[in-house]
Amino acid sequence: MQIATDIASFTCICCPLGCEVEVSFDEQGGVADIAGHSCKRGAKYAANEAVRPERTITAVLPVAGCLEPVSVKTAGAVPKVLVRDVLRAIAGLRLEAPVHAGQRLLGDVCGTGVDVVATKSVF
Amino acid sequence: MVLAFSESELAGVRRLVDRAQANGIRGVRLLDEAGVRCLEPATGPGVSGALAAETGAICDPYEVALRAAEQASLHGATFRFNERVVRIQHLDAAAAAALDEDGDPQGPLGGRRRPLRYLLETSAGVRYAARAVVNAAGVFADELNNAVSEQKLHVVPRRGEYCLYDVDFGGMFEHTMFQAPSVAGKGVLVTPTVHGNLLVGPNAVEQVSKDDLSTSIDGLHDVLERARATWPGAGGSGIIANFAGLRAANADGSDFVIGEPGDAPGFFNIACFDSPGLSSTPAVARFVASAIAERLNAQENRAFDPCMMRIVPFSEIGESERASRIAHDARWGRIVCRCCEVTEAEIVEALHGPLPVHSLDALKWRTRAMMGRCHAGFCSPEIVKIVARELDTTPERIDKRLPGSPMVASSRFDYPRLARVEARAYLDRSARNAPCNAPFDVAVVGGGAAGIAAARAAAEHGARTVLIDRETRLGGILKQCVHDGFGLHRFGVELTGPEYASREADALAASDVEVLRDATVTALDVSRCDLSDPLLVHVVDGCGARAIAARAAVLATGSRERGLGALNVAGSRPSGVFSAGSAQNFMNLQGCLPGRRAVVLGSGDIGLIMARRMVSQGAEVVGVYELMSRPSGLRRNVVQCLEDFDIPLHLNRTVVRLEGEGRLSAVCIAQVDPETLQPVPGTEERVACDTLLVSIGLLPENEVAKTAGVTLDGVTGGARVDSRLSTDVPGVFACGNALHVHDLVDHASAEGERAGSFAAAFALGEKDAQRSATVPVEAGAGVRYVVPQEIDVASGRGESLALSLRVAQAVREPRFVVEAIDQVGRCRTIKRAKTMVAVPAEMVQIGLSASDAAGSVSVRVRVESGEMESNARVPRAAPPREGGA
Repeated sequence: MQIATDIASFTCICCPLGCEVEVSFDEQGGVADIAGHSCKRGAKYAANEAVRPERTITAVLPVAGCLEPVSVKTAGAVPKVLVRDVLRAIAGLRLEAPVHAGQRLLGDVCGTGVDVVATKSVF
Repeated sequence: MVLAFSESELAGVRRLVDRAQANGIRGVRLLDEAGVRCLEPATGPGVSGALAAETGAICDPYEVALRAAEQASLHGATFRFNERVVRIQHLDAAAAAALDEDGDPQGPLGGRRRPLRYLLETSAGVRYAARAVVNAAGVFADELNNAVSEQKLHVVPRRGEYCLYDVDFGGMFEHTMFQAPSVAGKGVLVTPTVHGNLLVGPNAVEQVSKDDLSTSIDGLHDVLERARATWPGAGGSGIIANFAGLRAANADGSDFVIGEPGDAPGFFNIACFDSPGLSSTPAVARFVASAIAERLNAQENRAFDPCMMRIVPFSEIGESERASRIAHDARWGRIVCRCCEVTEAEIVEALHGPLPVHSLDALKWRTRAMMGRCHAGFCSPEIVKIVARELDTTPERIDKRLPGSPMVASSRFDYPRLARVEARAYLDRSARNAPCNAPFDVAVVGGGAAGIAAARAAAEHGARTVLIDRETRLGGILKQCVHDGFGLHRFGVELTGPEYASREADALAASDVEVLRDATVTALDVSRCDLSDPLLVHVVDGCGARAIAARAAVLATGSRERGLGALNVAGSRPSGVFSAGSAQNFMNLQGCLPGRRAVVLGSGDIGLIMARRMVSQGAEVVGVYELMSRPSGLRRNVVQCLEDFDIPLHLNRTVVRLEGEGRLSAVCIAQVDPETLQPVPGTEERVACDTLLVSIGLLPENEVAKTAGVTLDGVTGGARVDSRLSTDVPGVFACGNALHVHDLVDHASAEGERAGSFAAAFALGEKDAQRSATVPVEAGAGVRYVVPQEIDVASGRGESLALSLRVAQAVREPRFVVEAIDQVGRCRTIKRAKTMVAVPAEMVQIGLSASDAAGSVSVRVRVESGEMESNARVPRAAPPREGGA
């Protein structure tokens, strides 16, 4: 009998080459091996995607008193699994004009330690 | 002109000429083949002769109908819209008398009026009693007639389909070109329109439905096929829209039905108006009106004023007249529809005209706004804003055409109030905007990334610089690109679009550049006597219409989206079809939700990003459908916008048909042959959706360049430039997406900087800044285009330059070879370069020194070796990839 190794594959986004990178996991769920990449960046990307994928999230929100909504982002990357939760938390914000670019609108969103900030000013 | 393509058709045409002469029609004559060609050189090779009718002319049918209706309204006629007549009945004498106060012998008019004869009931539940009824119900005229008369009519709806071409094609023909009627049918016509477009059609297809105005795939194909006899160039390229109309054909004969049936006095038919309906209208109307007058014993209204003042559209008047209108009302200075040069004042005027405006299409036909080549992509969000504020309604209640064709799915309740606040701010601003009349060294047209960079670079070079932008806030399209991924090259950090724009705008504010906002450049006049004289940049804004003098100009006018019209998709014309960028504007700048269930056509970056935006905002995205065998957007966006949100991507598919009478209800998707890129018949599937986002590429916007006579490149769509980014018009430079569509905004900024410094050098009269000996750069094997198209070897000696190119097809490990070719055809390799992979979607840059090309007669860039990827064919006219991350 053989015990099969868990694997996952990712299309690398670092360049137009788009390598199909295969990550093999060890028994603790860590990265055991990486194959199929053409460069170091690809290997690093696949390892991150395999263990702790992260995304920066952007959205827009209505602002009372101003037709143009404000655009916002997470000030850093947050775990990919939390994307929908973070979007929901952002959508729950109630803002009033004026809002200034860079203004912190929500601290430590969904316990990620990351803030949500405005990316434009509206007034 | 009526064209003949055979001896027998020529004989038929001869008979038409004879008949015209017998009828005393002047100016009708027979032309031989040479005569046709002399008048209309674009006519197809098969032509053998033609009838020419010099007195023939065209009009705008919508305007004819509108002005007549307005005239009637101003003289007391009441219009009831969106009320269908559902019942009509003869009134017997007793019922009539009961309803009739005026007709009562004891009533105030003493019975002088004729009796009430008909009772009409409408879908609104309203009843109207009338002494006379005019039945002008088009394809429904038979139903009304048959309800009151035993002399039955039978109308057959006969569909006619048309393709409308861009104004670039309007000059192809000067006459309306008919084809000789023959046993095979009446032929299709090719005609310029009064607005300068070219119109091709119609066919004649009998159908059952009286409501269905959709075009068919076969019908459009047939129209173009038959038009090619007249105009061999008739094809998909240049089409901006297709549409169909229904003629009310008489099933029991070929003639019009005019006047009262014998058994229905007071019921006047104007029915079965097949061709030539419009031309006959004035005479028929006079005839029917006098018959009605006789029947009702009515007197002529001596107060009737047959004349109406036509306010000449802004697009047709000169600069001084424009200035005086703007002085009167600043809204004349705000050009909302850039394609057709329609101002805010004209839109507001139309909205408050004698007859109500019930849809955006009605506004389009009255003002021409949204009728241009951008397919309303740029202007519809702005026009919706104006309509909402003027009519005090919200975008979700604004219809595109029919009731039930809302422009967006949802919008904020206080939208009209906030839109009015914005409008007031504009008027306040324009009153304060000081005119800038000083002569400048450099004028930059366009305040997006490339324009801002160009203006700063020019100012840093010591040039007095003005930047002119049509919007209030600088940054161009970046303002609505709220996603991140910009600026990694330029600033070393990932920024969102608004952040990138504000960094650039802040830096500009700290420079000496004078900025003219809310100002549209309408033309660039380069007809100066001497190169040392300035150019004239014609500008329109809230404080006037004027010319600004500058020694050099940088065109950074950006790009526009290819619209769905370009694909000549069949079907209906419902609301819910957006270019991805205009949907992005509605969402990100106005807070509207475009729709609830979307299909995305094309996998360009904006489409992918909008798919994610729609899902993030709670809408459903059914899938992204891409014509080619690979996605055309960045892989990063395929992963992070589609895969992260489980949105399926379907390759080798396209939309072939739209369904939905009001709002879009479904699209038909077909598989595409990867070799021919044509839809495969029989593979159509229907996908229910209320929204179609179109993301099929960007096209450089060069309307200002055209006014200056700048030569454009057939492949890039931008100006042809030399290594100093100078166009072939001395002193006119180009950069950014207006020059060629960039993949990253960072590159557009970098190119803007180069253009700005070269323009400054030219304007300041620096030695070597004038264009001199140039060597052409050619795209060799495997290369689709190279920018610049020429290298200035004399003045730019030793100068470093960048060749920007795109490959024709995907290739792994390409080697790029730059060769200089001398007078006897010998090739000398001057540069070799490589990348790991090259795809058409991504730009490749090769550094070079201008002196490398010295002594050669041309330079060629080609791809050597490398492994071509088999499933990555690129069509000849592949849409360029869109910018942004």
